[in-house]
Amino acid sequence: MSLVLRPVHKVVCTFRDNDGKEASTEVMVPSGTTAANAVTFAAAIVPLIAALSDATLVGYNLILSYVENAFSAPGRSDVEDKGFFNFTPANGIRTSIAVPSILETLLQPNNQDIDQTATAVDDFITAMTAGLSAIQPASLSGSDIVGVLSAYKQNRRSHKAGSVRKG
Amino acid sequence: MANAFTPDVSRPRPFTEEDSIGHTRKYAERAFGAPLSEIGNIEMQGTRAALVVPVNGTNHILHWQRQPGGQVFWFADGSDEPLRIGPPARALAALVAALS
Repeated sequence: MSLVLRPVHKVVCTFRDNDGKEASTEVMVPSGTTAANAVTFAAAIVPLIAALSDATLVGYNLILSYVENAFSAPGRSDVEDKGFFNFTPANGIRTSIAVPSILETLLQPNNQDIDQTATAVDDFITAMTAGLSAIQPASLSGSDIVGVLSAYKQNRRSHKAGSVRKG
Repeated sequence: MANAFTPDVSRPRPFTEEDSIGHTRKYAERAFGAPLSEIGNIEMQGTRAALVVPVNGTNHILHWQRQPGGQVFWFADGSDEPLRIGPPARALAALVAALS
């Protein structure tokens, strides 16, 4: 099993109309394109697409996708048992990450709080709060994450892979 | 058996030397409320970075360790007792007093 790069990167453009409805469209580029070149391409192609529409371009994402090439899920795993990590950025506006199917072995004896001294947890929190490869993770507002407020297991509903939501 | 708070400086970590130095610098600057240049310097000890704090002509070796609830505690010179340094505004003075 290994994570492999999908054949294409995606530039996803999102438009909003005068009713407030949103729709997206995608442009694909070969995954052999470097991330830096894909960023440059996205910035150049997006205005050309926007020029074709009278809805407002409200944003775009550049997605580099990696997928598991040989899927197998351990019998005990349950993506609805999430490991919630609540982080405090420098600006004080909290941000969180929910890791699906948190390992039971990482929980404290109360079976709820995550043991932040566990090697895997300590490494993750250190990377999130003090950086990795010279990159400092940030909150949605772009503020550096500087601490962890709480970390615990919580059960939250998830959609089944491949399921179709009925309207 | 080692005390639960004893810093484990030999544990392999998925971080480069540059990462470890950066982590220790950031945690030190946040904890002691001052730039590294006012606190001391950082050197590698095994696979982890150590904060070296000179006080009265003696270099003290500090390591940080995360606690189960997430707090980062500092330990000096191999002690298994965490330093009590208080909030960042007073932490550097408290550190110097503790190491004097």
